[in-house]
Amino acid sequence: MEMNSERISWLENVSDESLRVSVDLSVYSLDALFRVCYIFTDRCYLFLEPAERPSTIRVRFARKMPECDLAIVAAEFSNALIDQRVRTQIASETKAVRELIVAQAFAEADLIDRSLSESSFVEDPKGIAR
Amino acid sequence: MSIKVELSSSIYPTECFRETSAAYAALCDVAVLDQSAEGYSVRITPLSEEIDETRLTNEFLNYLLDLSVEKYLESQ
Repeated sequence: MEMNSERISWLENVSDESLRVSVDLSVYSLDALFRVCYIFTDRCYLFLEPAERPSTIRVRFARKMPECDLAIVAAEFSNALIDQRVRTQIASETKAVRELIVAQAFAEADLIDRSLSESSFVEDPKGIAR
Repeated sequence: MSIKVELSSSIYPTECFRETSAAYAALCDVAVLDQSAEGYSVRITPLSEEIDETRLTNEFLNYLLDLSVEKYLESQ
């Protein structure tokens, strides 16, 4: 299926060489935006600037390679923003459980008695070589 | 031929800009033209006529963005 910026309403054509997307920071956090930008800088040139509207950042996309389809890159960027937002939300929701699991794992580990881990390989107290 | 760019301080911290300027010192001359609380404007001039100024500026800005993101994530 052909995809171009005319068919994707949230993309704004700046010129033949660049596209623009406005990101509302009340929907996607700055953290999510930055993380997604970091992923996409190897595929295209990005430039961020505050928009006239408060809490909105405009992201400009420019081609790195002539064969690069900016409309597809910008559309994938927009999807990645949603993914990152959901990822952040799930991380926040499961934070307590993850901390509990890590605490339990460390509670079961004997971090004080290192006699076995620091023994000589010649003595082989765990019988690994046997 | 040079390119002028307006940068927001909240997106591109000045220390990251300085680091990027140092990294690109062999390729271009970077001058800060104006500075305010919201941002700063800079002029990027390639040191050689063989260097495409648009590509150089885009590469410079991507490098600066990566540094700015790394700094932001480190502070979180």
